[in-house]
Amino acid sequence: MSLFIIKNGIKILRKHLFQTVIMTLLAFFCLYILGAAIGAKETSHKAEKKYTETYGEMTLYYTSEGLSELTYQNFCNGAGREDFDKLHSFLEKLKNTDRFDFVSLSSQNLEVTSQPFDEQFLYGYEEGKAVEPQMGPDDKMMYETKSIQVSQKFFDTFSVSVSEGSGFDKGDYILNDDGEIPVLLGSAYKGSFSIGDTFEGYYMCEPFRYRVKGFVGNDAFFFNRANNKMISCERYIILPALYSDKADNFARIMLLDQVFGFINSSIGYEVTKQMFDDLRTESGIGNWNIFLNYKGAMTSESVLDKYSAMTSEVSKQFGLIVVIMLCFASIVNIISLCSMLRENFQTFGVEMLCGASLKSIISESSTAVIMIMLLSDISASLLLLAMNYSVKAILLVQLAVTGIILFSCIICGIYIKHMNLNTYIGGKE
Amino acid sequence: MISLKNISVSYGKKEARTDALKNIDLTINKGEFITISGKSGCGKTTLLNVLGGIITPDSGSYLFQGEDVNKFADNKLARFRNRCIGFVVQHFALINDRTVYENITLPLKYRKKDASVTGEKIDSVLNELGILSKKNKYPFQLSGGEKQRVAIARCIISNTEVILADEPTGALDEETGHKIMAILKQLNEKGKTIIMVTHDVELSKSGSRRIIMKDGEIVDIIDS
Repeated sequence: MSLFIIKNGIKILRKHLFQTVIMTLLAFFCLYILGAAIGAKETSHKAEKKYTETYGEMTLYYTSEGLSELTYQNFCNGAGREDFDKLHSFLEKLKNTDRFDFVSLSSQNLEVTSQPFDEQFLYGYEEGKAVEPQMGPDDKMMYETKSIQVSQKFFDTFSVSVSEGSGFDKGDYILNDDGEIPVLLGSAYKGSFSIGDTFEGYYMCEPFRYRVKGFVGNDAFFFNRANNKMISCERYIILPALYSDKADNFARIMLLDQVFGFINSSIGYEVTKQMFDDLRTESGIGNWNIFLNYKGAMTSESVLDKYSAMTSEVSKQFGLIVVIMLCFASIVNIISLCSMLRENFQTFGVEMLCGASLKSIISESSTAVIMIMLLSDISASLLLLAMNYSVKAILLVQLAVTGIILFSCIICGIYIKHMNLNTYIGGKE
Repeated sequence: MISLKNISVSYGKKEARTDALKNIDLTINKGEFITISGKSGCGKTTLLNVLGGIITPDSGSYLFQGEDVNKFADNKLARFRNRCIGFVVQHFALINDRTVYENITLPLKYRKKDASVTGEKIDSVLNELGILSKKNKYPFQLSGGEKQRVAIARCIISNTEVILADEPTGALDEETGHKIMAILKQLNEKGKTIIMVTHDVELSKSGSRRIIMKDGEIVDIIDS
């Protein structure tokens, strides 16, 4: 008799082929999205864990310069190189000390002129106000693209790895006379550029050619002090914090800009500040307004919190969309199912007159549900596997399918129990 | 064989309550051909529903061969309908997307394999009823008379002791209706107990006993 019930269940689906196809497709999409959402959350947790292991016990303190206008002008336009060398010496001492890690990180946008850049790469995109391209001095359109300039320790501090190509080597931090700067691109650039490609534009008002040396990984983030957030590198161009021995105006501005960054220290603010000030004094710039800020210092917990908050926020929003979609699809499917069953009441009535129990009828309709869910489950699971989602995500989808089947069978049972068999033998008077 | 005692059935609640059956007492013996007649709304179909185990009465007892049908659980009730009761109804109660053969063997799917029901026996029954050539047709391809004969064939194949017929000729022309009645009489002569509901006065005289109902009560029982 079980085979008979299964055949009857399949007959119900064949009789309502269009509805069956729609319900299967809906269920397939929902299960796939559920699996993808679970997979994305897992990836986010793994990245968070990696960050926790990387950061350990540490605190980030901002470094910045606040030179007076006069000092600044004297430094930038000065004839001799004494001040230039002092600042360079200070920065080298900061970079080389083993008591803490200094990361130079500044955000000078590039004004690209050689080709259009997609809106997503332009400054202001994330705030919904991407800067419009402007006509440049050489009658070329300039696209103000997001970029950062970093020292070597940036990559270790923020665990930014190069997924394709190669990272910056020591020589890349020296500005050559060939007018070319090596760059690393965020992962979103992969569709637009390949390793070795070049483009042109202005960096701090000076024209350069930029050669793509590599792409950073999908999970590369850095801390943006401008808006106090962890930012993904995916839409950024990363330049090395360049040094030019020429000590010309451009070299001086570049060098001063490299004061902006972080000190990653586990020895406490007071000690770190003392060392920082000692290095300034040693370098002969003890009287310059170069700061180590305590206010706004980021502890490891708050960095991680921000990272978690950011990824959780994305994850929550995505999760909310998934929940809404699942609810909508479930309602549509339940309504379709009940409609299919209602149209089949005539058949159920005759079967009951011939000796089918309520249990058999419920089994028949449940078979229809199970067939739809199995088909959509197999399709969704295969697609999740093909898209390299984790086994855990796929297993959780199976759990969801089981729950959906149970719930649907209960709905079928309740609906069929209220079927009025009287209708098939003349009905009420 | 069948004993109804103090059977009452009502529909609806409070002001909308209707007493479809009021304290019905009835005994039906094996092999009888009972007709139940009365005006529309008198409770005859409800009585048939009670006899078929479709409705559980609000009060009273329904004994079928000594067993209280009202106390049957769902599975036992299903078995009761499968083995003991055959239905022949006005609109035939056939499944349109199954063949004549599948329709008449439907009751057999809900019981263990019965070796006595062979393909030859099925063909013999179909032949007797004049619908052998329609074996692989679908109900929508048959005439009204043919459909009703399929319903009767289903009862014969499932070998139920009792056949409940609710207006079996209601959707048929006079000539076809007479043919169906002749088949039912033949089945009765072979020992089947037939309980037939009809509003047709002439048809109500076909049975061995005639029950007349009014307003949910049996007002007269006439032996033929």
